[in-house]
Order: sequence, then C-alpha cells, then structure tokens
Amino acid sequence: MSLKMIGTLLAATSLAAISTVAMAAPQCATAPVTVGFLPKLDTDPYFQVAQTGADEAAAEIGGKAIKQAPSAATAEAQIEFINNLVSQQVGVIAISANDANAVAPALKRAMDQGVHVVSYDSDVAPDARTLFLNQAKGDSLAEMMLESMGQLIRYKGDFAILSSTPTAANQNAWIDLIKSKLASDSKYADMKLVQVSYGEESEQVNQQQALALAQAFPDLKGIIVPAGIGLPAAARALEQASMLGQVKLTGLAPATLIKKYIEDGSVQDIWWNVKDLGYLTYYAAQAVASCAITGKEGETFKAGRLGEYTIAAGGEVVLGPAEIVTPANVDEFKF
Amino acid sequence: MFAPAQNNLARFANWDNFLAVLTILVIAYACLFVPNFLTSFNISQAIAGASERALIVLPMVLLIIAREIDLSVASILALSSVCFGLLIQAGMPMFPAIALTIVAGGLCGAFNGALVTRLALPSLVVTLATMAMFRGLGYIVLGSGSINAFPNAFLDFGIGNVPGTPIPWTIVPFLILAPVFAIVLQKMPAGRRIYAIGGSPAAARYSGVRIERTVFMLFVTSGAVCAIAGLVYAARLANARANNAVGLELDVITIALLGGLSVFGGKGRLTGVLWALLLVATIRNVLGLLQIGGDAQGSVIGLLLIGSLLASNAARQVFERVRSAFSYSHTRR
Amino acid sequence: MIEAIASGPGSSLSPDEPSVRAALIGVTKAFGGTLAIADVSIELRAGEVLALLGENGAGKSTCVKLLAGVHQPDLGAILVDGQPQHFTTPLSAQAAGIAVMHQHPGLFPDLSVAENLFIGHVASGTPRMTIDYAGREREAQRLLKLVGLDCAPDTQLSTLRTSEQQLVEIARALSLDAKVLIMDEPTAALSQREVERLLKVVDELRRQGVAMMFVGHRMDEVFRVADRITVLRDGRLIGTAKASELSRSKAIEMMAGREISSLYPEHNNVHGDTVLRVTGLSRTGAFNDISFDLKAGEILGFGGLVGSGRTEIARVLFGIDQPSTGTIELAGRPTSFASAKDAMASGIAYVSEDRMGQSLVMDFSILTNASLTILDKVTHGGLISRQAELGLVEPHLDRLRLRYGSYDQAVSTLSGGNQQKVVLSKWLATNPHILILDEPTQGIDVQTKGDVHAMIAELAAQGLAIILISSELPELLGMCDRIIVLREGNFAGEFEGGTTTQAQIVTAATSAADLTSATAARPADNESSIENTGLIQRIFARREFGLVAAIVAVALPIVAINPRMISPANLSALAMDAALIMIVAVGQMLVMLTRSIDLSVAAVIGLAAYGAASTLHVAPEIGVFGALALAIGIGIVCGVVNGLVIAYGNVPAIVVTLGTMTVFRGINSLWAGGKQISADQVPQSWLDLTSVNLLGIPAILLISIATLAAIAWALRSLPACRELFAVGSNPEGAKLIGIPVQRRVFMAFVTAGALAGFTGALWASRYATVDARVAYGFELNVIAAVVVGGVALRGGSGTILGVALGAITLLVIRNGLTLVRVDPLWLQGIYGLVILIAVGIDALVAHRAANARLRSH
Repeated sequence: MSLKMIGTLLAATSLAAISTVAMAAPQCATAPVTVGFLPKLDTDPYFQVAQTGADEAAAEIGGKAIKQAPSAATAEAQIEFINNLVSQQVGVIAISANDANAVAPALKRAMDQGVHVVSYDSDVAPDARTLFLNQAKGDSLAEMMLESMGQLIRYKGDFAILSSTPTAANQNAWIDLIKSKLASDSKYADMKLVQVSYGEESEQVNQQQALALAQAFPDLKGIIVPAGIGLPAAARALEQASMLGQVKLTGLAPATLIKKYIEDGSVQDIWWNVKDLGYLTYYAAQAVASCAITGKEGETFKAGRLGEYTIAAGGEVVLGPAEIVTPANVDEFKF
Repeated sequence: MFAPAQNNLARFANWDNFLAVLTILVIAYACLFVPNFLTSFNISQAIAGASERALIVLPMVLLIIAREIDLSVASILALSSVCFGLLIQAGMPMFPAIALTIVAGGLCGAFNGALVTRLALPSLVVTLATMAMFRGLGYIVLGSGSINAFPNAFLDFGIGNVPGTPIPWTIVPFLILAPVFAIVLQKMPAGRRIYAIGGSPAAARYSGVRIERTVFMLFVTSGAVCAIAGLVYAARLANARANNAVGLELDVITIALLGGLSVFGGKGRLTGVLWALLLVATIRNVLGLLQIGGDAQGSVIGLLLIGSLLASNAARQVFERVRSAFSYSHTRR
Repeated sequence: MIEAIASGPGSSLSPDEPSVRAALIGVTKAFGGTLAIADVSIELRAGEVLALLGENGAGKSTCVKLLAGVHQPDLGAILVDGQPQHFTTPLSAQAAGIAVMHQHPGLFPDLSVAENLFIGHVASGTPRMTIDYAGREREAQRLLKLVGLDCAPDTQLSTLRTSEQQLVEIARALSLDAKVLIMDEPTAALSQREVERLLKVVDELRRQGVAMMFVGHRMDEVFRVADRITVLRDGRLIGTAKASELSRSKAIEMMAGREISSLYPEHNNVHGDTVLRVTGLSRTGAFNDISFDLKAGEILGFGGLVGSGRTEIARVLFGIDQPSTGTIELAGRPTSFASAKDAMASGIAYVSEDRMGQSLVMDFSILTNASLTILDKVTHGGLISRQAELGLVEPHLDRLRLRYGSYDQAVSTLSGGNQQKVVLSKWLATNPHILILDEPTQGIDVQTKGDVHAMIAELAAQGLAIILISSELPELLGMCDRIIVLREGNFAGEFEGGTTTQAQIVTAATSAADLTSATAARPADNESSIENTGLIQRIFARREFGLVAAIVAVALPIVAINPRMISPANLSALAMDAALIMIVAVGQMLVMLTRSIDLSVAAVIGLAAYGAASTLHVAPEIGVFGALALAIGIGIVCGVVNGLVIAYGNVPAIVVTLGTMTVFRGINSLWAGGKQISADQVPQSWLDLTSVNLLGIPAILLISIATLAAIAWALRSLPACRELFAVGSNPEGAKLIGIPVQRRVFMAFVTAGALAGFTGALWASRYATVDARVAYGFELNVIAAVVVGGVALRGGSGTILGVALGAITLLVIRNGLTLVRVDPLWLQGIYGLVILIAVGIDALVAHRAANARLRSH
C-alpha cells in the first residue's frame, strides 16, 4: 500500500510541476533548425536515399537533418514518432504519410506546439501541413504510367495495378487519376483495369500478388506497379514463372533495382532523382521555419543547386518532371 | 520466531511491489535524465497513445485469470471503428451510433464466447481465427478506404485534454472503468468465481459456479470494451478503417503477463497489471525520445518480460531454500 | 491367516532367512520445512511381500518415492543387494533393478498401450538405436495376458477405462523384470476380479524370489498379501511384524497411536418423510434403471466396486450430468437439474471423491474455499464482506475441529484430513437437505475419520438425508441404515445396515452368476467392436483423410472455373510456398508435441534470412553452403535461447516466445539498420538454390519433402523422439519414469530453431530481396497450418503428414480464392473461417469418439 501512495505522490507532484506550457503558434526561426524526417517505413531504401539528399543540404546551409521511421507502415506508428519529434523540439517535421487523414490531428497538435510541418512524397490533409513537396506532378505521373502501359500493350487489353498499402495517400491519388484518365480519354478506350491489388511493401507479398494476378486473369497483358519495392519484386516473380514477356510491367521504381529488366525491354520505369527530393525538402523546411515562405500560391524560394521553386496551388511544390527510364539513360540514375 | 520477519518479507517481496518500484525508478530516471520528458505535451500524448491498450487490458486480465485468452481484441477494435464510421456516414446521430457500436462489439464477443463455451473449443485457436475473421469482415464492409468525417464533439474528445490538466479525454473511459473492474475482481462474487474457474475449473463446477455462463459473459465484456476502445481510437486518429490497430493484441497480452498474471490462470491482480501498463508506456516513450525506433522498443519490452519472469523464478527458489534452512529444526507440521 | 500363509506357495517358512534385496537404512527426508520420515529402516527380502501400513501423512509414499529414485534421502542410505545406492533419477533406480507400480499411474493417454509399457525403458543388453516394433508387440501381448487385460497392444491408452489403465501400469512395472517390485496402492481402481488376478501374479513373483513392497489401505487385502507388515506413524517406524502374528486391531492401534474401541458412532434416530425418490433412472453407458427412496434422517449407503456407477448416479443427482431416462422427485415433485447450481438451489450438496481435483481450489485459502458455495449469501451491498463470510463459515469449521494457522492460509498446506474438513464445511454452509458423500474418508487419517463419522451421524440425527458412497465395507456396514449395492451400473441388491455381513455385500457386488447388464457392454465387446472397425473406416476417421477431402473439394470447383490452377506455373508457385511453410511448420509441431508453443518462428526466419543474405553480400566467398550453414546456425542459437529459458528457466513457453519474438525482430532491425539486401547484391548461385527444377519439380519442394521424411522417420524410430509425445501427453508422468523432460523440450526448441533458420535461408534465396520485415506476422500462418493439420494444442499428438496437408490445405484455399478473383482483402476473413471450421470439426469428432467410448463401457 505504501508504495502505491509514493507512486501517487510522485505522479501528483510531477503533474503539478508541469505547469501549463504555453501553446504557441509557430514562431520564426532566426537560424537553421533541426528538421525531423518521418518516412513511411524504416526499411524502404527510397527514403534512405532521400535522406542523403537532406544531409547534403544540411551540410550546405547548416541545421540538422534527423530521420525517425516506424517499423510498421501504419498511421498509429507514425503518430508516436510525430509526438516524439515534437517533444524533442525539432523545428520542422517533414513527413511522408502512411495515411493522409489519420495523422492529421497529430500534426495539427504539433503545429499548436510551435512545430512547422511539411510533407513530402505522400501528402497529408492540406490543413495539417504548410507545404507538400511532390516528386512529380501527380497527374503527370499517373498519365505517364498509363501512357507507358498503353505503349507496352498497344493500347488494348486487360491490365491491373499492384499498389503498396491500401492506405497510402500518394498511390491512391495516382490510382484515382489513372482511373479517371481511363474513363475520359478515348486513347485508352480499349484498355480495361481489372483489379487493384496490394503488395503491402513486402517483397514476398508483392511476388505472390503479381503471380496471383497473372494466374487469376489469363488475359492479363500488363501490370502497373506504382510502388518502389513492388516493381522489382513483380519482375522477379514473373520472370521466374516465365511470364515476363507475356505480362508487361511498368511503374515507379528505383532504376538501379530493375536495371536488367529495363535493358532487355520487358519493363518500363518512370523515375526521378530521389536524392534531390530530400535535398529540396530540407531547403523548403528551413524556408518555412524561418517564415520566408508561408505556403501561399506564388511564393518562391531558393533550393541550393536545384534553383528556384514556385509554390503551386494548394501549397504544393513539384520537384520536376519525371523521366521515363530507357536503356539509353538508365545509367544516369544512381538509384 | 523467524516467522514474523519471513511473513513481512513475503508480503513485501511480491510481484506488484516489485513492478511498482521498477516503474517509479524508471519514471524518476526519465524525469531527471531524459530531456523533454517532463513536458505537458509529452506526458499527455504518451498517456493518449496508451488509451486503447489500457482499456483492452482490463477485460483481458479477467479472461487470462479464467484460463482463457482473446487474440481478436484488436480486430474487434477495428471492426467497431468501421461500424461506427458507417453509422455516422449513414447519418445516424452520435450517441445512438456509439451505443450500437458497443452492442456490435458485444456481439463479436458473444460469437467468441459461444464457440468457446458451447463447442468447447480452445480460446487460443478460436480467437486466432476470429482475429482474422473480424478484421476481414471490416475489409469486406468498408474495403480499403477510410471514413474521416466525424461529429466535432467526437473529434474534440479525441484531441483535447481535460481542462486545466495534461490528462487527455481519451484516457477517461479507462479511468472510469478501471476501478469498476478492480472492484468486481477483488470484492465481488463474480471475481471470486473467475479466480475459482482459473484455479480449478472442476472444483468451480462442482461448487455450483456456472462456468459456461461466466466465461461467455467475459467474452461479451471483452467485445464491448474493445468496441469502446475502437471508438477512442477512431476519435484519436479521426480515422475509421479496417486495418486499425494491427498487432495490438500481443502488446496487451505482454502487459498482462508482465503484470504478474499466470498463463495457467487463477493468479494475478489488476494492480500489478496497471503498474505494468504504466511501465511499458513510460519505457516506450523514453525510448522514442532517445530516438530508438519501433522494433527496438519491442525488444526492450520483450527482454523485460522474459528477464522479469526469470528473476522472479530465481528469487522464489532462493526464498524456498532460505525458508527451509530456517525451519528445518522444526519437526512435523 | 496362518493357514493361508502356510499353504501359500513360496511361504517364508524356509530355514534360511531370505536375502535382503533392497533396504532403507535409517532414512530421513524433509520437504521444505516439513519432516516426512525420520530414521526409518525397511528391509525388502527376496520372495517376500512387505506391506507398509500407515495413515495418510505417515510417510508411506515418501518411502516409495525414495526407493523409486524420485527423491534422495537427506540422511541414511538406500541399499540394493547390500550396495549403497545414490539414485539421481528414477531411471537410475530402474537400472538398479527396482520397479515401481505408481498409485497415480503416470501413463500417457495419447500413446498406445505398447508404447506406454516400454517408453523410457533402460534397454537391457545392447541398446538398439531404433525401436523394434515387432519384438515390442510380442512382448506387449505376453504382458497383457499376464495381467489379464484383453486389448490390442496398439490401442490408444485414453480409450481404456481407469481400471484397465491401472492394469497397464501394473504390466509396465512387471515388464521391467526387476528383482525388487514396489506396489503403491495398486488395487485402488481395480475390480475384485482384477485384484484377484494381481494377487495371483504376486504369488508367482514370490515364487520367483522377487522382493516386494505393498502399500495399501484396505486391511483385508493387506493382511492377505503380506508376509510381514511395517507400520509407520507420523514419519516414524512404529514396528514390523509377521502378518501372521499381527492382529487387525493391534495394527490399527499402531497406526493411530491409541486403542480404537469403536470406529462407528451409534445412530438410531427416527426417519422423517421421503425427501428424494428416484424412479427408473438411467444414463447411457453409466447406469441403468436405478430406483430408490431416501428419507430425512436416513443414511443410505451405496456399495459396489469401483466403476459400478455410484459416482455417476451422484453426478446426475447433483446436476453435473443429465440422465437419459427416469425421474427424480424431490419432496414429491418431479425435478430436473440443468447444472450444479440448480441442484444446490434445491438443497442438494455433493462431496466429491476427488478432493484435490473437484472439491478444493488448491490456491485458495481456507476461507475462500469454504465460502465458494455461498458467495451470494456473503455480500453486503454487492461486495463480499469478510465478516459475513466468517459468520457463515466459522461455525462449521469450528464444529469439525479444523486445525489451522489462519483462515487465510492456502488449503494446500493442510493435511488430507483437514482439507476434507474444509470441504465438509463448505457444503454444510449451504444448509442442504440432502447430502451426498462420495468416499468421504478416503485417504485421511484415522483420527479425522472418526470425527467425520461422528459428524455424519449427528447430521442424520438433525434430519439431513444422507447418501454415503463408500468402497470400505466396514464403513458402509457401520454407518448406514440401508445399503444399496450396484454392479456394473445395475441394481444388485438392497440390504439392512445392522444385520448384513460383508460377505453378502461382496457377493452382490461381484456375483458373476446373472449378469443381465444391458447397457454396459463388457470390455470384450468393446474391443471386438474396435477391431471390427475395418481398415477403411479407420482411415476415414483420420484427420489426414479429411484434409485431402477438403483440398479436393476446394480445388475441383476452382479448376472448373479457372483451369490455370493446375498450370505448371501455378503449381510450381504453390509447391514453393508449401515447401517453405512445411519445414517451419514441422518445427512448430515438434514444439507443440511437448505442450509448448513457439511464437518466435517468424522472427527467427527473418533474422536468419537477413543474416545469410547480408553475410553473402559482404563476403560472397562463403558460398551457398556457407550461407545455409550460417542461417541454420542463427536458427539454432535462437532455439537454444528459447529452449534454455523454457526448459531450464521454468518460464512458460508462450511468454518466452512472445518476448523472444520481439527481441529477435529487434536484433534483425538493428543489424539491418533500415537497409535492404537486394537481388543483385548476392551471388546468382544463391538465388538459383530455390529456382532450380529437377525433372520439372522445384528443387525446394524436394528438399522440403526430404526434410519432412527424415523427421517423420526420426519421430517413429528414435526413442528420444517418441519421448516427445510422452512429454506432451503427461509431463509429470514422463518425469516420474525417468524421461529427461527438460532435455527433450530443449531439443524440440533447438530443432524448431534450426528448421526456422533453414527456412530463412530458403526464403532469402527465393524472394531475393531481404530486409528487417521478412516474414512479419508469418507465425500465425504457421500456427494455423499446424492446427488445421491436426496437431493438438495440449500436446502429445500430431503427425507430419497432417502438418503437411494442413499447410497445403490453407495454401490451396488462398490460391483458389485468388484465382477466382475474390477480393484479396477478403482473404483474411475467409482464412479465419477455415481455421474455425477445421477446429470445429476436430472438436465434433473428439466429442463423438468420447460418446462412443462412453456407450461401449
């Protein structure tokens, strides 16, 4: 019993000692701050490469880039880290969200505590962040993927999409755009989307799902895989089942991981310079922290060697156009 | 002559107190040496983050004492949040929707309970299966999407603190239910029966305890409380979705076992489990602040679980030897 | 008596003293703070039976356990053939030539009779590596014939009745061909016929010069079988005498310490109205057409052999079981009880014969046990009030003169007699009108017996109606007004208490003359019905067949819808998936056989996969085999950690593996540091390991099948592996007969770890890209496969074929659903449903088998 009383006493005094910390609106920093990067998942190499870009930028203009990533690609895990970063008093949180809406309350709470929020790669609810650093324009990416698929299957036949997780905001946005393009553009009138499957960011599941799609839909001509881990996995699985020529693949993936498939023409890829995304995000974060930009359309800021960027509608900043990776330029991509 | 000292030592050196000491030490360490721990924001967020686990651990304790287990708790949580989201989306006012959701959770629990009591199936396997089934049902009903539009009062509950304190509203259901469960377990006939069922099911049956009915009610309670946890989760994350809270069940069971419950049933108290809850939440928070991530946090908790049980076994053996050495001189009892 | 001994074969009237085969010399043993025996010396002589008499707590079972090698003496020595012995385990006692028939047979319900006879045996002569099934069968049949048990050696033990199982225990002890035989209450569960058989065997052994010790409670038996009798009291040796020279009353006096003039109180009170009338009561497989009346103030005895249905009738009267036909009338009104609570509400109380299993919760205190039956009456405002508890319970405890330290001490610390007093208080507190006592004085000391008998008489005088079930004839005759005798579930006679003789009762209970037993089929019939179940039927009943049927049932319609299911590519993918999960599932089966579980398998797979791939990346020169060895090595290390903590650290498996699951994942995370090893970072030969085909069949499947076959062979032929089944079936029993339980459990976990490591290597080779998330959540798939495959969660049974089929069934279902384009998100739900169905069918089949067994008894 006595220990219980000690415990309660301790709790009471601590609570009393924590006087209400004033809820502050984000303040303007005078020197470069610490930027906390919060990717979707710790094992995705995509975000590790992006981080190298952030580190490069930090070396250039000062401040610190730290990265904390959850072990599960869920919103709940990310919320814990959002709170941790706030407690660690970082200046800006740069998040690639597992679930656009679920993390919003936590981000808003962060902003109430005086921490700025920007998102990169996968957006959150717009009122929960100041800027969204997008790797390429969403509809541009979607259109490029659809166009690429169309080319591969000569604009006729069944195809499927193998996405990452059902909750991923960016993938879902691209899938919606693809669907609307399919419906509206007559160029794709003879192409049919038969199924959307999910690879859950796991090598094993991606392989299984790719095979399952090929088996379940005997007339399947191609699969779009807008997920970095998924495209190489699907290629491997189909190659092993000797179906890689019969079913064509395209999507978004680190060029180096599918280099051999690109070189023999069975797979297409749309990609960009991932490192630059991290670099850009860091610069943007520092600009937001110092109140140089407030996320309004038309504002501009300078991002080191990448040059000047203008904020588009909805607080979105686009890194640049994505490229189709061909056997000719595949070597240019370091990742 | 040594008896009184022994008794005092025995009374002192029990599991609850050991956990309490450990927890207080960890909290003290955190307050003093971990920067940013003792802020209102950190404390309130850490507590909020533990809201669902805290709720679910309450019926889980009762189940484990009665020699049962419920692995489907996280799935019932997810399914109830989906259910609530759909009801709100269909235009139902908030309070009826809440009531219906809790009933739905109770029905899931009743399904578990019926399989365990009527068909006499082991609860480990039944709830392993319903863990997949209930969540799958959530997917079937809602697909992969999510519902985010909730009434403002609901969202305020999920975000805000009790005015003037760093205590978030989301922990309040737990604060209300915990004493209720504690009183039922320790001071009411139902609790005695639960301990009897866990201690010796045959003796309980032959003493007139209606085992099937009690166990069934435990599962229904578990389902209902998980539904409440589902509501709390949805409010906190403003999100109703079929894949909410994956993996939560193992966390809850770890806390229960760390809290001194025996896997064989019949032993353990709620107070130990509450200390364990506090300990685990603090450790996770501290590790997060020290930038140690998800899997590694799990490892620390895992080591704590194993280490504590090994230590307690060793301590008990030492104890036995000390006691027998002291009283060997006494002849027959 | 003297005549019997003189005319019996092997009588010890030979001039030379028979040699002392085994002896306890001045042995003292204490447990914790309690002295069990002090300075006891016993000699067991060749060709002689020494009976050990004493109340409960006198130290008889301690003597047995010392000779059996279960415990070691604190002081004194144990001699065998004059040589001092130091038994560290029961196995060493066995090796020294001592065989023990235990009171509570440590048999293994999941194993066959033959296995039960021979498991754990120290092989004489050259020990064989593998099990000789043919030789064993012959030997088993010989032994079964010897003890008079008529059943096939490969019958599963759990299908036998209690008395038959006791016979197996006896046969087992005899199979050791020992020079010293210890019999600890061997007749407790036997019918009269079987007891006769046993005594004949004892005579034969006497002739052969075996030294024997007989521990028993029934005076008649003891005096009949013993040459000499040793009496213990409170842990000390009171005296040893020739059976022929010792009178019953002297023996009892030595046991109890005082002269017992009359054991049974007078009772001749007036009887009241009929409180209970039973008409034509029957329960299939238990008893048939029982009718009797019971009046207030009357003590009605139920006599008969063990298994004659008396306890079964009591259970029906108390609402635990339901009758098939017949009526029960309470105070003239027909009633039925759905549960014990109903019966209690009608004023019936039942004191079970199984004190520790059914009457008391051993962890509870005296007070909480005593108030368990009246919980609703001790509340104050909904909460339990200690005052109310004490108020209702104290009077009864005091009345029975319970000796205790405090009301809050655990009942496990009390002696048998005091425990029984708590039980009686518990029931008296319910104020019953009808009290059913089932063997109320079994296993308690003479002093307490007297107290109990006095109380029973007093209660009857107060108007309680009492049914007294007892196997002790003197007790029946001394206490009861009337006695009903049952024989094999049928009514066999009613007798008046005062005037009947023991002989009359025994005759009624055992007369072989007119056995009109209708419902209860004889054991012989039972056996023939099992043998007549043809080979075909037995195959049908097995789990494996059901799984094959399920696979076909799912596959056929799907193939019709989408023929791609049997396309080479699909089958190949299925085969590879199956290969991976089968290997790790078999490891899980080994663990579950020992009544444990391993939740960390998936984490081990991940760790091994990453370890192998990462090392290959950094140091490709270790080659494919090096990487395989490394992965298996990592698995072994993980298995060792699990095994040590579980087997030797005494922490439950589910807790440990829950912890190590997260620890191994954490180590994996730290090692990987967020990185992935991708396909082009490992040598091609590594990836080829699993993509190679041999004659069109994926190599990985062949490797998997080979592994399974090897383990299946080991499980069948290696004694150490058979012992795994024993460990799971009855862990305590396994320990008692000398099976190194801890080592076996350890071995199971290490093997499971190695197999998981092996799977990890294959996984890394198959899926090419590995990171810290490999196989996340896979443990549930593994457990599902094992459970669907028929491995029992409670341990002791399971087959390799079942596990393989279970894995394949689940994979086929998933594959099939995918091919018919069921939304992949739905798969999870359907998976769960399938597991439920599999387990449900299991339960149904077990239920039906138990019913069949009941009917054929």
